[in-house]
Amino acid sequence: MTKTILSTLALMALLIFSYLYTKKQTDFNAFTLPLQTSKGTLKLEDLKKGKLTLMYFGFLSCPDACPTTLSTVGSSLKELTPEELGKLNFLFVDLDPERDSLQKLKEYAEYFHPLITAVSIPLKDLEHFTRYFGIVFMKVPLKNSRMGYTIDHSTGILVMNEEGKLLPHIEHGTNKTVMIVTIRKLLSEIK
Amino acid sequence: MKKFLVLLILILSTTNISAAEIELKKAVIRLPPPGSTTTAMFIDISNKGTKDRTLIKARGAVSDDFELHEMAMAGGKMSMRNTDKILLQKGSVTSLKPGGLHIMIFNLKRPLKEKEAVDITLEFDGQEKIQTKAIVTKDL
Repeated sequence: MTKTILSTLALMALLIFSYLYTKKQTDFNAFTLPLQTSKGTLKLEDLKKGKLTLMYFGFLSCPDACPTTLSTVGSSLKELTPEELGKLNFLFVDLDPERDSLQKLKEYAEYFHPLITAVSIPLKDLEHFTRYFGIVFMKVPLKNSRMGYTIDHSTGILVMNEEGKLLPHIEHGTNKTVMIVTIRKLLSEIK
Repeated sequence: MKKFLVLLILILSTTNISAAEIELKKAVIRLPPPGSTTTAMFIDISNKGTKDRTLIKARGAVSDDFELHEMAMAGGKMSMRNTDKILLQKGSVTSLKPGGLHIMIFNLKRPLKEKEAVDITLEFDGQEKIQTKAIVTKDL
């Protein structure tokens, strides 16, 4: 009998908690969240106006996936006209705020292309922000590694139109030629 | 004495053969972007021998921290893990390349220059060590 009461109570507590948890989540607004950059904060709701916004999520000690993608992005952006670049935002959202400083992120991002803006978001908001966009990331401890931990993460480039609507990702491994064509096509659809 | 010499030549020639069993090609290190002291080295390792071999370590003066890593892609998510050895199957080429296996280099002691040749020593099972030069390359 006591067991039944206890398990009922536990179930109720669980329901209340999950309700509060989801409620808290729905209060979160990715578009009004202040995003920290080296030039101050910006918000997606201002950024998206009249522009195509691309976002890539990564971290500084990422030795392979991040520099490979950003290198392709950088060389693709170099092929675009100033007019085309004027209709485009590219954000590099950091997934390792515990280790990466904004200054280093800025240097890193601009090395690939000056248009790429490094963005830092505190961990508590970052979890909501990534979840909103369907981006997965996970801190994974590494045994016997000087790295201590790594970050497993989604590698697609997120695409958002001027209305804040999400479009299909640009997949990881997309080559330069395809990336240029894809970005040009997306830009031509921006009103 | 003659027997000894023959034996010596035999030993030396066997050592030579085993040394040539592993060949290193296309060794490159990604030029680390500013802000990052972490980078990766890629290389083609061919095992021409009749036995499977393993790469167990990499060393170099540019850093005290070299690790062997493997990458895996699942459901659009990239994971990287350190590994204590990389299998080099007999009679085949194992490519360490972007998106797969790599030698990770942490905490670079100095900035690397593009096109610079960096001395690297790879250690294999059986205490075999092979030196190579890896070219620092910008776009990989």
